[in-house]
Amino acid sequence: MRTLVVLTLFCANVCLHSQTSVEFKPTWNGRTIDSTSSLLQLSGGVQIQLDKLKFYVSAFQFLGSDGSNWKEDSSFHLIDFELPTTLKFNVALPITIEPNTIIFCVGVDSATNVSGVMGGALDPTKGMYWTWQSGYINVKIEGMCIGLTANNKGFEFHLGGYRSPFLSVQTLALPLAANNSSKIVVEIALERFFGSIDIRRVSAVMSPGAESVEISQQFAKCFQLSNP
Amino acid sequence: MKRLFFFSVIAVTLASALSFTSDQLFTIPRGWSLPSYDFSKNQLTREKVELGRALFYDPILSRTNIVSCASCHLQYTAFTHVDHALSHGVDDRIGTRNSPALMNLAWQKDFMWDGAVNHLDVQALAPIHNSVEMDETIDNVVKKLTATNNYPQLFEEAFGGGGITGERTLKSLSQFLLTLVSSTSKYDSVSLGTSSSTEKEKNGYSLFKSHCNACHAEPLFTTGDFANNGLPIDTVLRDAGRWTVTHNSADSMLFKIPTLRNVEFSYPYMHDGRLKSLKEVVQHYTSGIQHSNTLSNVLRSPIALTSNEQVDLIAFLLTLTDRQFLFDKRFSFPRRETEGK
Repeated sequence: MRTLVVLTLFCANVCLHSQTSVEFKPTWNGRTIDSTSSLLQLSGGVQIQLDKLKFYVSAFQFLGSDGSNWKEDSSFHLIDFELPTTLKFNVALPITIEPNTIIFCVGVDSATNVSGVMGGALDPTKGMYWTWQSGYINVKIEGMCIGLTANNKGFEFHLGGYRSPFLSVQTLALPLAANNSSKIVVEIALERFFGSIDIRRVSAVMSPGAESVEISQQFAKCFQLSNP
Repeated sequence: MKRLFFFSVIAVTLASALSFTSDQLFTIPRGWSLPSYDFSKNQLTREKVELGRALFYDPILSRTNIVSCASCHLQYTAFTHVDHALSHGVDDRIGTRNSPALMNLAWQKDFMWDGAVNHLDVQALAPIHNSVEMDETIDNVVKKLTATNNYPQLFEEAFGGGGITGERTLKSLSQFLLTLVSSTSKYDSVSLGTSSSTEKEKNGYSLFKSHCNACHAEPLFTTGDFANNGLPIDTVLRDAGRWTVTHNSADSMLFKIPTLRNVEFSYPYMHDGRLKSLKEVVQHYTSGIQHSNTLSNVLRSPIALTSNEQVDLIAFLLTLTDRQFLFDKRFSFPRRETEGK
């Protein structure tokens, strides 16, 4: 009898929360890419070699059509293009919520930026924290641009900043398809990012400021939900 | 039964005498405001404080395994680096700023001369990563600590399972730094009525309250704010202070007001150590102030002091020396040799 009670309670606990997977897929012109992908073609014979793509996603929320709202606890995930296991994670969304919108931030919020040191995905050993000035690096994009100028042009974007007026964290709200909430795939259409920035003008951003905000906005525009 | 009771009493007494509660590790001196540091996120324990102390004195934090925090922050000289306007780090590389004196950090909201660091827990990242200081990475520090004979056990005793992480390394350092409270100088005992000042010191205190208190407010001897105290910019270092962080022109040449506690031993003075003695400092304020748009309002008129008054003011500043703090064995090099190699 006791075993039955324990088993029922266990099942109830597991079943009340479904494991919803969230996956981030960097893509180029609709094709999934990984860190071993060869040169990415832009228009005009220009090619991009992507060496590093590392960014925080945080503050996950799911909204239901009935006004319900579920927030993930300690919601910080570090997505690293070079570590495929970080591209996908699970959230314990309650089965009572049928979400029609997913909301999350690209980057770390201001309050966390002034709260000292944290562990897990936020541990400073992850290389995503500025040491000479406090603050998280929300996004790191590094690589080489070939064919744009006479010599190959390296680019290094370390995007951050939590102080007004240079707040770099971006919030996204993406609509979810009706019956596809257990497996959410967010594509990052990188050709949009490289098509919108001018590497000849700005190829290195390493501190908070207007450039950091502008480039963070361009990066956020790449995020879209994959069609089921 | 009686014997059992007797031994229980002895056991309990011993246990409470030997236990180190966070109350004994950190106490707010009488009359001081509440600290800014949020202790609830990093509660002090004896194990974590001692671990932090071991790390503070351990050169394993630097790339060359030669430079430790204590290399630039010596206890006997107010936890700063005397005789050096600008400190030297690995390979004798020279920095651009004078090392600040470390004490009463629980009451500080901003760290570094320009306030670049917003929380004590992340302050150590700056010298660890700076190429002219320790030239290391926190990631490699964690790897080196994990490979030692002793640190894995010290971390386990302090934090439980889960190994050594950047977070735990930094939080232990914070815990040691938080215990560095200086509040037992002659000035403090005079305030409490357990000592009396000399006539010169009394006169100096009076002058201090008239001319210096606005920025160097008691009992911390700093308001913790930033101010431009009229130092002309160094044309080689070109250090614009707080502006470096905020890029707000109103912050140009503003630097954090340092504490004056233990100022007898924290020479040379100012953000780049350009003033060698207290006499030079006082003379700066009486006749050396350079005016600019961002000069502190309280310094718009020079401070008028006769030479006798200057001597008395310095006599008062010397009463801020806290020998109990400077020689407190709890803050000194840990007796048990740490095996960092």
